[in-house]
Amino acid sequence: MVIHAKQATKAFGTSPVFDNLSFRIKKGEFVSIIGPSGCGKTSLLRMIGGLLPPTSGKIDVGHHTCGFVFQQPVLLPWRTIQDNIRLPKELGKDIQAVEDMLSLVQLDHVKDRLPHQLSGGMQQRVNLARALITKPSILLMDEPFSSLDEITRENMQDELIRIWQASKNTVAFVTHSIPEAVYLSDRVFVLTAEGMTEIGVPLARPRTRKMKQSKSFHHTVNRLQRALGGHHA
Amino acid sequence: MRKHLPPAILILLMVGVWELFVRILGVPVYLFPPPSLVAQALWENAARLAGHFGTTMLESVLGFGLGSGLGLVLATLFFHVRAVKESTYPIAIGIQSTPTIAVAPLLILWFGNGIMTKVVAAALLSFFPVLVNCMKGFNAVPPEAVDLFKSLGSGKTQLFLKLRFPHALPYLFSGLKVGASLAVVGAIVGEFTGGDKGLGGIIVTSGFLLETPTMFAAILLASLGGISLLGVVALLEKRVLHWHHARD
Repeated sequence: MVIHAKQATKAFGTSPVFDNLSFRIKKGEFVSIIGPSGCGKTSLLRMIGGLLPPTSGKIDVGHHTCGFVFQQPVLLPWRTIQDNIRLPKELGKDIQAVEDMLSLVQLDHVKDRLPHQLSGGMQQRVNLARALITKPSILLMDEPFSSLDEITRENMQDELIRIWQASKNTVAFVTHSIPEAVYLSDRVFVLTAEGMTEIGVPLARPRTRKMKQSKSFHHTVNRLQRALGGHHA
Repeated sequence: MRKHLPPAILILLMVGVWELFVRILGVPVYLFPPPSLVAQALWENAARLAGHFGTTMLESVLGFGLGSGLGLVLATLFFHVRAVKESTYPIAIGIQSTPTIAVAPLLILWFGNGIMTKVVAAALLSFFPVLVNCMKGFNAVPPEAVDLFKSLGSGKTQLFLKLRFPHALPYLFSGLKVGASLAVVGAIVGEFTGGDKGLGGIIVTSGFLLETPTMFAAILLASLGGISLLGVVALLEKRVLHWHHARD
């Protein structure tokens, strides 16, 4: 068990964002969290990563380390790509070789450029590399592909699956997109105002794009839509 | 270079029209000297004016350094210690809202008739824009970037030095550019009030003596001083913020 939530509750002021959440995520699992805006997906992710304390209950990650991949690339515009990826070291983290990270996300050729000289998809890969360089056992991703165009997004999904399978970390992935959640995940957590339900994805690994045409893919998408009820994801 | 051409032509044209206008209408020299006489005054008094120009610039640069340094330190302090901000910020606004010319005589009482008064006047004017812009910059850091640093275990000092400060640099430079121009204003206001040194002193004494061409020459130099100080800061900005300019 890598992540274990026990009756985690978060309230801002008197209004609860979510109530009594309990779940377990196994080592090496890829779990997506989906739900309508304002359901607390991002808060949940920040709580797993220890950036936000729960109002009550707890989320236990044991001795495991977390790496964040944010919705925006959050690159420091005054640093080159390789210096951005190296940032965790300057903040006292143990890191892997920057060169390995650059080749993992296929950005060797732009390592001396500044962030603004890169496309959105490339910036998001830097974001990913900066998280991976600390060798986190848990990767927390907050809608990392939501601002990318559809083609880049599909490529990034495949890239993420490839990197995840190579690095064997546990991933908690927040998304707005039902097909994205199904394509990437082993399990999907549906977070609504009523609480949390979980739906398993019966697709084999490794995932291929052809699976998106399969019956079980569409079946899972339909189950998720029903679970989200009238909520617009 | 091309973008400098239209204003240069316009200025030349205005100088020409001014010369003609003053000569044709026979405006008295002590009221409105033609540019040729201003140039002559500039030429004949070159050594003396250069000395006074140097004095004013020295006061401005020292005052600017003092004022912007104070602005930066205060902004850092205000950002980190809420109590200091809440107690001191209203006083800073009060100082800013008081016309410097109104306190100049007091500065003379306190700091004497030498360079110190002018430096303090320049500092008083230049510190506020730096303070305000710095605080704006420190607060403009995206929350996700703060999350990133916290998730990487960053302490407060690292967060400030590696994220907030560099992020605030474009804001700081906006403040510095305003402050640089205001520093020259402050120095000259100080010179008006006390002593006969500096361009402000020349402007006042040449006024008494109705040496209007010399006065114009001094005004011209004062404006030149303000522009050069601003130019130096802008040049520095371009070097330091190459990553920022490239983005526009």
